[in-house]
Amino acid sequence: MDNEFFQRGKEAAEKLLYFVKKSGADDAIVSLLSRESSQVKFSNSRISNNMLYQSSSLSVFASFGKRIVSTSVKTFDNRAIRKGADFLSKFAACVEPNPNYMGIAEGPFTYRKDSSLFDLRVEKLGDRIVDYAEEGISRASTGRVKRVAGNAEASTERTYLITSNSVKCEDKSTALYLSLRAIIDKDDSAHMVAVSRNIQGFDVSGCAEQAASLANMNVPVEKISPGKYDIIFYPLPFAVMLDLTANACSIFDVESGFSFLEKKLGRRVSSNNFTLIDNASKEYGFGSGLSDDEGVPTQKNVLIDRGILKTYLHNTSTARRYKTRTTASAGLIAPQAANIILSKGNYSLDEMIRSVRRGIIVTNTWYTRFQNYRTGEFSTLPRDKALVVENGKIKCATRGIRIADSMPNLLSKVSAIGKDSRQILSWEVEVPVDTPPVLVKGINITRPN
Amino acid sequence: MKQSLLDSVEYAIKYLEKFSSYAEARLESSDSSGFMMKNGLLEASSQDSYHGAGFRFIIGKSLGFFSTDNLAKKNIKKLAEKSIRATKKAARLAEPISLGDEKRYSAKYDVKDREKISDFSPDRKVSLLKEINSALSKSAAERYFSIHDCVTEKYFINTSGSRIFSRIPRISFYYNFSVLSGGKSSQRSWMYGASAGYEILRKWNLPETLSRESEALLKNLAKGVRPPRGKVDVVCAPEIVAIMVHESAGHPGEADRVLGREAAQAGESFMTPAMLNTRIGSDLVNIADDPTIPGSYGYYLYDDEGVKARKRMLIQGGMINEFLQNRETASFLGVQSNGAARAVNYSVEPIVRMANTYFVPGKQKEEELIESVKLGVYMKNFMEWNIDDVRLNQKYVGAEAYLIKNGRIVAPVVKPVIETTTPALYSSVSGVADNLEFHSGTCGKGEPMQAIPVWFGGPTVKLSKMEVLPKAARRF
Repeated sequence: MDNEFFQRGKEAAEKLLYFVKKSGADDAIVSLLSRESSQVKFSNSRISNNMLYQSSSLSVFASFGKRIVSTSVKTFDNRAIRKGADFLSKFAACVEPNPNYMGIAEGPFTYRKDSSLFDLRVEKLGDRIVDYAEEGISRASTGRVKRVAGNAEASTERTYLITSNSVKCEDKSTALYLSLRAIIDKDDSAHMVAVSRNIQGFDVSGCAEQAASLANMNVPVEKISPGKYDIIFYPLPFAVMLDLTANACSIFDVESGFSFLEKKLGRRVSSNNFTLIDNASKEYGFGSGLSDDEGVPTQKNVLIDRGILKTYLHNTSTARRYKTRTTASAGLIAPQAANIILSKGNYSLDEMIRSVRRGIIVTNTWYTRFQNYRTGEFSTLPRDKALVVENGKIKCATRGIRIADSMPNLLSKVSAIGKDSRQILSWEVEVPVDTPPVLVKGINITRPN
Repeated sequence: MKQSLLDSVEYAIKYLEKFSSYAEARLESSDSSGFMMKNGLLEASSQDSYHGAGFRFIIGKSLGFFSTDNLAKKNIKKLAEKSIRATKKAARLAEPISLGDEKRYSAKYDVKDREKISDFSPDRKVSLLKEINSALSKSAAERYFSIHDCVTEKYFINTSGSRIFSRIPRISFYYNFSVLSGGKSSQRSWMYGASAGYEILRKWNLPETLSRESEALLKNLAKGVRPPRGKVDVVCAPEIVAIMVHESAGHPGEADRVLGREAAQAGESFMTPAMLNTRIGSDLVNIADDPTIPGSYGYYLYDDEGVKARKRMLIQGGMINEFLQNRETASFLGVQSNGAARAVNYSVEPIVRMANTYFVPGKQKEEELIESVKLGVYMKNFMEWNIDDVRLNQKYVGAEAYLIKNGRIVAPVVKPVIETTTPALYSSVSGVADNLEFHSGTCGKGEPMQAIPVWFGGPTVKLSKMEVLPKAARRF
């Protein structure tokens, strides 16, 4: 990453904050984000494209008498910065105040030192990302696996955040990501992901071999009847459920009608073995960072403690309105989770399987959609390998089914939680989730006639 | 577009030409604004702009791509060198690529916006949101709206000599609201979008449209009955038909999915090249995709590979007729590209995408279709839907829906569910009305995710003998 360019961006950020304050802003947050990543996309066991992305953005959020506005500045030169600041105050004069806006955090803050989020070897990786793609393809091409598809990516991100309330936070992180699908045919495949902040933790071989092993599981395929089944969710599909649950904890979602957790604070929302945490201060967390979007040092938030909803996610403004403390979850408009963790249980996957009389192992899902965000009614489609369990044993695979239930019902029927966790980021999981496999009893399955 | 930016991409192409058999650049500059209102309060107002360029090139038989928003020539050269090194290294396992032969074009086109986005002041946008909020506040307990506009200028250049300039203004409006009655709730999420100026607001008539929808949902909550049991006729209004054709005709007809290139992302397709010219539905089924529809949300005249856009007949007379192609898939399958390569912005590679997919209208009237039903359901709009990753198994759950008895709409119906497969769906089409409507969406595909503007549309369509409430779904 170009250090000189980033330093120029920092100077531009300082000037932008100065001019925005000078133009009359009560609160202002200026953030600089620079990102560089390399990505190798592969399909049919061949590399199909080799991509390099570089981007920088300088943006500002400001309040002028509770009139909330934001803009971005394209270049770092003085003219663009003055123009951006001038524009913002004129823009604010055109919009309405939001009486619900209660300000931003008061700094300064002291940030922890976290060397776990950055690995110089990732920043200097260069074209060696190609080697990871090759390793993944090679390791997954075993047994009946005919094709391997996926994506390997390495990225470095630098951020600089300053505010009118004496906040100054500079952060630097690296990320490695592999998404790999081992394909036997269109109806028989397995998908795994691997994520890491550093080279040491990036288990490409393990990810590829697990996908291949699951894909190679050669069991007959049978059609199953609609009805209630116990579902063993692998980490990949359960991460989707946890991402949705953490989203529903945002006070913004609650107020907007996008949450099934409205009016549930202090009440039971899941089975008592279920503890959900958002912890962006966790070492090596794929969503971890030093601060939230207003510069508040990240912290551990227990969202659901043994089944009881303990808090919604807040930024400073929403917290003041609800007379509580920020959870360091800004989003300046909508508070949001950053690094979701389901507390581990005591079960091995085999123990879960043995405990199921009539169930399905779901290894991936796709296209999760709500009928009603308030009630949490949703459906989602198992994708890749789905295995039918009868009397504690895997009997066959199945296809063409749909999970159609509600989030409150699903959370209340979590029966067993695995002891081995995995960090997940995937196509349908936008906020990183750390979860073991989970057994949920009596979930509704449908299929077209 | 600034001359210095144009110079930078010309420089880049000349540089890449030294090392590659083909190179192209997409320079893009965009100005946008967004306003969001929640329960009557203005939560966010933003105005942004960006510029940047994406470069694609072929070395040997390998494809490389890089993008940046720092268009200093020194930076571009540095990135190009890095990208060339990685692409050369990847050659040992690269899929041999050919982009086929394409014509070169010199073209310039834009969308005429009568009420220009730049002239439509922030306070007018806020007033619109307030007006919509006011229209809905009596019937809807929770109200979330956002309006977004952008004007995007693009300059495409390649080593074959094409030079294409475009300017497209786009406006979109997204909403979600909840109605509550007797301890029950119902929700509606939808959007409007167009390539146009703010004159489009008169056509959308948002306060009245949303108000009517919320009143209908309230009535459904209060008076809705269960859908009829067993297999009945379902009359699907244009909004339902629109999402159906997008999901189960457009997506499976994307040639990159057919060939497995999106296998680890958006998935593959049940369709294969061998299925071209085979039957998938009744002979009433005609489905097209056309980027050139004036004012459409997915509008363009040249795609992001510089190929001239044209209407594509995906399904004709019930037969699979044509896939959506980019240059790479077309070359692989031995046909010409039909101009379906799109990138959401300069920073990502163009991939095969829909533009404006629609069920071609027939000659019947919607009323005739309803009158022909003895017992059935009329589905006006929907909330939940999904489809599997090969685009066979799909579900649509009605939000506003009605019971039809003896050819007449008699009562609201609660959440009728269509859960079917693509061949079963298209084989059940027994009537097609003439009331073509287009709806707007943001279609997701690719990695990084490319959420791209599209229209999808159709007229009212009658499906014969569909089950509308599988037993397992009755407990809702």
